[in-house]
Amino acid sequence: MHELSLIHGLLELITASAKVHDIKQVSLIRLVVGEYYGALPEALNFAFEAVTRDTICEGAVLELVATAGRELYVDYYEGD
Amino acid sequence: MKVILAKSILKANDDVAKRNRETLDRCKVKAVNLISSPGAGKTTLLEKVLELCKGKAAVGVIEGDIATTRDAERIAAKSVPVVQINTQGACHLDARMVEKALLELPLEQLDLVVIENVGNLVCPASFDLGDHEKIALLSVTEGDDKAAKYPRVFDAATAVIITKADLLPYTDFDLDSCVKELLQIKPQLKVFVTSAKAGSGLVELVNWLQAR
Ligand SMILES: Nc1nc2c(ncn2[C@@H]2O[C@H](COP(=O)(O)OP(=O)(O)OP(=O)(O)O)[C@@H](O)[C@H]2O)c(=O)[nH]1
Ligand SMILES: [Mg+2]
Ligand SMILES: [Zn+2]
Repeated sequence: MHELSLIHGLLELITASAKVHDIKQVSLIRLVVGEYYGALPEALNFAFEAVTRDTICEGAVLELVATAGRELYVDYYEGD
Repeated sequence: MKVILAKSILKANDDVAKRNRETLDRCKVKAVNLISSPGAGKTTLLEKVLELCKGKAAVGVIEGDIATTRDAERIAAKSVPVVQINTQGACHLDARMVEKALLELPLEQLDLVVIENVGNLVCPASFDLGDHEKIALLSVTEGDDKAAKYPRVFDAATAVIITKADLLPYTDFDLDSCVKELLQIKPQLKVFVTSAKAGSGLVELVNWLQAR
């Protein structure tokens, strides 16, 4: 559940930015996740798949970068 | 095309939380976010605190639960304004849910809003609600190692309430070692030891709340 809310936040962020940059399909998202948030990679990937269905992020690669700290941010994303 | 964002995915939540805090500040209301594992005694403690606050401070309550309105009914029995949030499965409250609940409370007439989060010792710490402080509860039946095992919640808190102290004789809970580990996580933590059942430690807690 926790991961699901985080992915909802991620999708909101990307959708807003993609609109500004006129990006119609996102192919890759690099997400930095600090240990502090206790989010499991498998659960994040699972939530990502479920939440992005029928969105501009459907099928995109979610690249997770684990850090020891308190970061939780989108580093960058790619799309056309 | 590559777009560098470098943006927190909790930003949407944090923006609403900031708005909530501004609303509360405008109405001169202080908000406290109660966090603990399920059943640590949040509602029971709150019932006692509300009795002690009668006539001294006007308190409103937001109850967060996955399902049922049982906690809100318990609080309503104390003749205090209360709003129940049902999270429909989500294991924590977020700022948007609290934003809606705040609309239902007579903020202009209140001094304090207590938000009882969903029973969960993990993710409520990640979601700012717009509260002014988080208070973590830990009951003695959970074991004295829980602070060390779930440090995030205790690190985010300004105070920790060790609850159900009346049960200490029946458990192997080592109070000294627990307090020591709490202070290792965060040296400036204020620690209270209470029993809602025996009524101990409650006056100290209410006095501390009132002083803030
Ligand atoms: N012995 C003893 N039992 C307590 C005390 N405080 C609460 N309890 C009991 O602990 C159980 C759970 O208490 P609640 O106040 O409902 O706990 P909660 O944290 O609000 O639970 P959730 O909202 O479901 O997360 C109840 O059966 C209470 O009677 C206490 O000080 N001493
Ligand atoms: Mg409760
Ligand atoms: Zn959660």
